[in-house]
Amino acid sequence: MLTIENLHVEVDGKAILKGLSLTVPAGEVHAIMGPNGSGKSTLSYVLAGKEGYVVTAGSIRIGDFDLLEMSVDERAQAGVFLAFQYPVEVPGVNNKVFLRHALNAKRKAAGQPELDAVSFIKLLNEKLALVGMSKELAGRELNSGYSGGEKKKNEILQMAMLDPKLAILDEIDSGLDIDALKAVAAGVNALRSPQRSMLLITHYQRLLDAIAPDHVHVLLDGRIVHAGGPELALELEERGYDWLRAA
Amino acid sequence: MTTSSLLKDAPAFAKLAERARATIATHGWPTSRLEGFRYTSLRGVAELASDDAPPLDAYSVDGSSGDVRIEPLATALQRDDVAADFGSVAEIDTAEAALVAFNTDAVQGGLVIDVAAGADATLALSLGGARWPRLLIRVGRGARLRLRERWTDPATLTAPVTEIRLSDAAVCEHLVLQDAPTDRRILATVAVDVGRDARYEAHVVQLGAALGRIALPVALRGDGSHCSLSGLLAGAGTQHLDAHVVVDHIGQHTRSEQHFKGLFGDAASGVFRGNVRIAREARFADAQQMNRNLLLSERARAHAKPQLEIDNEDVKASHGATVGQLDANQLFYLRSRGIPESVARDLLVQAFADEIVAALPDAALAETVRGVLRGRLAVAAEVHA
Repeated sequence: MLTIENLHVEVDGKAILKGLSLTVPAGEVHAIMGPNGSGKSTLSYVLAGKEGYVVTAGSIRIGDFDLLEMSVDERAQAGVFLAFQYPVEVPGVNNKVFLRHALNAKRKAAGQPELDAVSFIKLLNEKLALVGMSKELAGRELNSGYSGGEKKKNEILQMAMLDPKLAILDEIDSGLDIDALKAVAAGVNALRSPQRSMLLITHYQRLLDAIAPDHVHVLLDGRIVHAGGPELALELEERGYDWLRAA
Repeated sequence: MTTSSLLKDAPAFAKLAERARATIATHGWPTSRLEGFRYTSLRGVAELASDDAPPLDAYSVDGSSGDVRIEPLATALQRDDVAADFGSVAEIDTAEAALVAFNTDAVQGGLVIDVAAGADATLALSLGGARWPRLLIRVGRGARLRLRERWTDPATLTAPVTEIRLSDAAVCEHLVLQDAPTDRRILATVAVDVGRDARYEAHVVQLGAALGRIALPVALRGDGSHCSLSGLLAGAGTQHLDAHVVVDHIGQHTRSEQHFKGLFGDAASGVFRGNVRIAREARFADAQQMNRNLLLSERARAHAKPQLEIDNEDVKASHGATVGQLDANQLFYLRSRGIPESVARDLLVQAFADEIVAALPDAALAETVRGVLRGRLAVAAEVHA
């Protein structure tokens, strides 16, 4: 379960998040919607622990862990996963080698032995089938020269391999055509689990047609100003955000 | 220091030796006033050079196959054809080339290597303990030579000079792996003359030595000649590693590619100087040059000096040089998957180097290079921990 209380975050001395509170219980999928500049991406980076995002007040907990006390890699090992809006290309680093390092770092932190090569490949093949990705793509240089759709699929593959407690999907639909969006959404839906909290950050209703959220939150000017069920997304699509600004 | 010179008193070389001595008298040992030595400290080197060098083997042959003739320099120099070619590829008359003049004046030994026209040969050499070693390599018309050099245990100070002459349509694939102990100083020159439709391909990897400098002047003399030069300079501690490339486009339809990378940690430093000169008559030349440097510490330094001199308009030329640190976004991405920072850094450093290493035409030597780099990164991780 993710619990954020009264979170204040500055970037370059400018307040972006101004008292954000949010709870996502295990097993639920919550969507965060909001206009450009409302702080959606800042929230995802702060959860992952990116440099330059300064928390001036508040707390973030995942189960028993105080995230703000942990480094970027420690957070990931503890079960935080951010699917990037723009996955980073890392030429020269093989995707499989990368996945194996990531998985074994997590296992090491949990006191488990490293996976041997055979078990790793077996797990990888299983997850590739789950997210509908080719073995050829999985063996290439990490995100290097991948299409937009392939990059997003690769994010979902990593999520499947690392089995996080909290998955944050930052605009996972951006830059995808309808078919690619369907494929990525199918992967995400297959990864819904009673043990996992998911946070979908998006501009658009169309993603929420493909991945039905349990709750929808509206982020405006650094705060959650409104929340509701899946129907709220439809209402936002129709009415925009201005009516919430006035409130 | 000329007591052991092979050329001393040999009439066929009187003029060459005279020119060499004139260069030495005029310019002396190179100093930091020269562009090619501006960032390369030669302190202490001249003193070392003035010692009488012990007469040690210049090269040992580790293996060869195919139709290749290997002769000791001392006996080969008696032949007129060798006498005519010796000293004809490497320049000796300028201040920048003074090291070649020193070598020519004092040359102790070496090999003359001939690959017959149309032959296909492979040769592996190790640089020995001589201070002034010399190679003359002649690849015949349409022949192919795969040359592998290891510079693993050279003299404390050594200034080897290699001259390579490629006849029409010849190919030479030249790999140099310099992994000398870090108390050695190496000031090497590899000069190449490329004939019509011939191709010279160099892969230079410098991992060792206190000072490791390679000058690589290549003359694309024949029409349709081509050179492809790549290299990796990977230094740590207080190592200083250089690559000074000069490509002269002389014939028409000539093509050159340079791709060099520098990787410097601790207080290591390095220089890449890539000079491309396209002569007025060298129409339809195509020259590409890329140099990328990765600094792993605040004390590390890299100097990138690309230079294009183009005297005609029918050319395609591009060049680029960068000096930077590890990419923060890439580091964040890897760490956001749980990979510890030290491991993430190592992965990125290996990826940087592997662009050059993976292209080495010898899989076993590529693995050797990867092993040295991995070992060095492991040490660096301990220091930082």
